Amino acid sequence: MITPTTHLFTAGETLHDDILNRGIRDVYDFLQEPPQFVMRQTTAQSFLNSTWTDVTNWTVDKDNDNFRSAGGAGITISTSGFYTFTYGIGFANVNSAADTTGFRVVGLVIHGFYQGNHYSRPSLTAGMWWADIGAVYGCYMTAGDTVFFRARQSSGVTLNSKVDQVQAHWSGHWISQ
Amino acid sequence: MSNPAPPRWVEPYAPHAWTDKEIPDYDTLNLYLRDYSDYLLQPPMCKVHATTVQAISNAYWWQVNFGAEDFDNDSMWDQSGIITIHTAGYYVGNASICYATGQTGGGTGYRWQTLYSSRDGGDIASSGEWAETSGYTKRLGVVFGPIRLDKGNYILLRAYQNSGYALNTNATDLEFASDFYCKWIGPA
Repeated sequence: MITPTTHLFTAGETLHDDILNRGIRDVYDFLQEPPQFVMRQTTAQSFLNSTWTDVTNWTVDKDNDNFRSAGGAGITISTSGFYTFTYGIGFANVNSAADTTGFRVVGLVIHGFYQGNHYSRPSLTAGMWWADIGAVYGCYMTAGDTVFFRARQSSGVTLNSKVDQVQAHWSGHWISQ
Repeated sequence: MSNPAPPRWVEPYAPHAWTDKEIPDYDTLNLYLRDYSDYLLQPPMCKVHATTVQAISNAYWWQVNFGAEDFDNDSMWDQSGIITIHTAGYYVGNASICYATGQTGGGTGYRWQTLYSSRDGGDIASSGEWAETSGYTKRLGVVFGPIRLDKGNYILLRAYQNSGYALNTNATDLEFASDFYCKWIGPA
């Protein structure tokens, strides 16, 4: 998607279709539906103990700017600008002490670095509550940048993500030039 | 200010009502079509993050400071922890603080974060929880808005902890840096 450029009107200028379409219509079309994606995980994924893992198995509900054009786990930015990302995951219980052990963390890998990490403790009672953690992060992105949503857990055993009642989710939204 | 200033915005917001057979001159077209469009493409917004460790004393409210701006097109950041509004309106955003790991007292007491607004003269958003362990860094966030802020008002993040000891924040990199961002979403 191309960020539209507004038109600077000048005295005595004759308005023609290109000016009105590019300088006005395209701007409002863009603002009505700026680049955005919405994804959720519908197939469970295994997360090894103490290992950062790309969250994947995405079902894409919306992608109007080829965010997922490269496939894989991450997204690619096509339109530069400031974005907000919302991301979260729930880990399924294994009904043992692992449910109450260690921590759960989510983060984004942007420009090769972890950013916006959020940590959480799991449930205090085995099998009782899922360890569900979410975060919001805002960042300026340049066309061509890639972003990965990663999760990590230190329960001592492999844990699966939960895909019923709680689903891993990841969305992004262009909010400014 | 690290970014171009936002386009001019007519306050109070008063869009032009076109009349039958009106022939708009170029200044009217620029003011009510081009400038508003430019403004909506890049409304006032500020994103800053911490770059140095900050000590948060025990049982005392501290203003959280930031050391670098990632984005600021309306000169909102004051080089410390105060975000001053230059364009009135409703704003949304979020702020967070990260404490360093392995500190004495890191697993004890309460952590409280609030967003203070000078317009309201008090805290308008907050979050808090018990500390559980000093073995990991935890980002403690406050999501706020929409909140009304007028020109000259300021907002800031304040933190409180009662571990029994002074606790340092973690500002090693963006992974663990306290941060703040807000964005104009509509006129006052």
